[in-house]
Amino acid sequence: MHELLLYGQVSAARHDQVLKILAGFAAMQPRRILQRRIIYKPEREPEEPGSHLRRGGTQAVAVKQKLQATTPTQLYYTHLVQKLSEEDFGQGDSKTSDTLSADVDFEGGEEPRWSTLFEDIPDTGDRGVSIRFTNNTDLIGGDPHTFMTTSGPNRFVTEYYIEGHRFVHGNVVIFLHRILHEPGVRNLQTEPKVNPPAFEALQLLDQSGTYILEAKVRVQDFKDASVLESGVNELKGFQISMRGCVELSLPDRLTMDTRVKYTPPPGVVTKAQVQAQAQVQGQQNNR
Amino acid sequence: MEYSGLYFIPTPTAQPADSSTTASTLISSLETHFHTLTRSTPWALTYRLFRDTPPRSFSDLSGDPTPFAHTYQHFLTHTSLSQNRAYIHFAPPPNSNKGSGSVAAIPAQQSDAQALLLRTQLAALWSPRHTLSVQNGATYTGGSFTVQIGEVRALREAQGGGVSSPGVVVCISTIAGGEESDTAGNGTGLNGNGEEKLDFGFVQATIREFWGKIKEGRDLGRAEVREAFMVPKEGGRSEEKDAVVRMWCDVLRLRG
Repeated sequence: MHELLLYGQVSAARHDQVLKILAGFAAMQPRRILQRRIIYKPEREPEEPGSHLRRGGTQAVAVKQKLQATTPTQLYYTHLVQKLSEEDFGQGDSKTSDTLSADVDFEGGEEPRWSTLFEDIPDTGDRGVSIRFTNNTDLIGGDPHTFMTTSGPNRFVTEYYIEGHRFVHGNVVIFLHRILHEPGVRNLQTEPKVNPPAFEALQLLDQSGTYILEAKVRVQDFKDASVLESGVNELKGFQISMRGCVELSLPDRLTMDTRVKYTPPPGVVTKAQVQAQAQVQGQQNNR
Repeated sequence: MEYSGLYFIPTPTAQPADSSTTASTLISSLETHFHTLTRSTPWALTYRLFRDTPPRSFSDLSGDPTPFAHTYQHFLTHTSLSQNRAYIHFAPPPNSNKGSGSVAAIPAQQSDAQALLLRTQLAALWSPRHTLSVQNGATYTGGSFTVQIGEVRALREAQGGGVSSPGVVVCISTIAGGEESDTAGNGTGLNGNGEEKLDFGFVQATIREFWGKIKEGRDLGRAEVREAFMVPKEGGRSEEKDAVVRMWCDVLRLRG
């Protein structure tokens, strides 16, 4: 499914006022949202861009080249999302299990608590809103951390928490939230914690306490132009309604890039570096 | 606990008509030999196999004889296991020391979207291998035995579609260990009270004998029948389901 997105910022001082305005606008009470997000990265390293084009060669190799050129190589960061409630924080050692479990009584109507989240980099193109492909799959059995590490294979990168409120107005899902984390612990973690820490122990990622306002419209069938058009228009309509209260805009797509970047191994000179060096030398010679 | 064994009878011609013939032969044999069994609700299954894509650098090494040790990702929905769950089983390469792999569950309606994600965005890591399904499988129950017979269909996703049938699958389930084992299925494991671990040798022999009776005197062609039993680890009801999933995935992987 695709998402249409716009973002805005709300300072901590204005948070309560904006919350009330949104509650009036959406004609509903805010829904409290607490989430833990865990980031995973594929164990495989991305290849050097253009590496498959450098090999010249004989007939035999040419066939292999064609095959290689069409093999996809893009690697992405993926998320695991856990829905939390106030009681889940600060359980400490009272829970005896030492692994995470996504088991829920799905057949009995229990809501899944864990889900995997895939977000692609937003599309290029200028419609005035950010558009990206996303996929959300609920996990209703098994160990979510094991699932993520084997479905790559991936490795754990880090985890953080999100707290906020959600509203729905028509097709627009409005999410006013901010990010929390445990700065000291985060650098030492190699796998997600089984029990989230006490809520008071979490610190804001952005020390100023600014909230992020996310306005999202979800579109199931991207190819249906009329549906996409009406989704974009609805989101833009919301943007206009919010003028004066919160300024919504689309962020630079590269700031929302979830692709894994190629990092050359230390000591290796890449083609780009050689070109840059040549350019610098050329400039020096011209002086 | 309920213990299952699985038999796969390959259809060498891959023609759906030939698989139907094999299935009918087995069903009529079953009805002849075991009068007490009655036909009950049909079952269905869908199965997708993904295999991990080797990194490009691996295939560049010319003349490298060691093949890449593949990990497989299986998607399985089976109406007898659950009406609304799809199971995802990761199987590590056979000779690695990573154990028997993991099993997770997702809602069945989300299984297609997840498979599409693998085929498109995650194609650098996973390649689709084949998709199989069983429609209208026959179920026979009686006493402590349940037999499920179904023709396996493979859908070719290339242009022109076309359905082929790799073979017929027969699943025989029975109760292992008698009545005491039912009460032990609450997660404490079979070693809870110092009882002896359940010996599956006897129940496997029972299932083999049952299968022997079914195929007695019938010609199933020259194809070699594949047999697989579930391998449950410690753990109770959910582990039993995981073991059944692993058994089905192991057989339906075919040649991978």
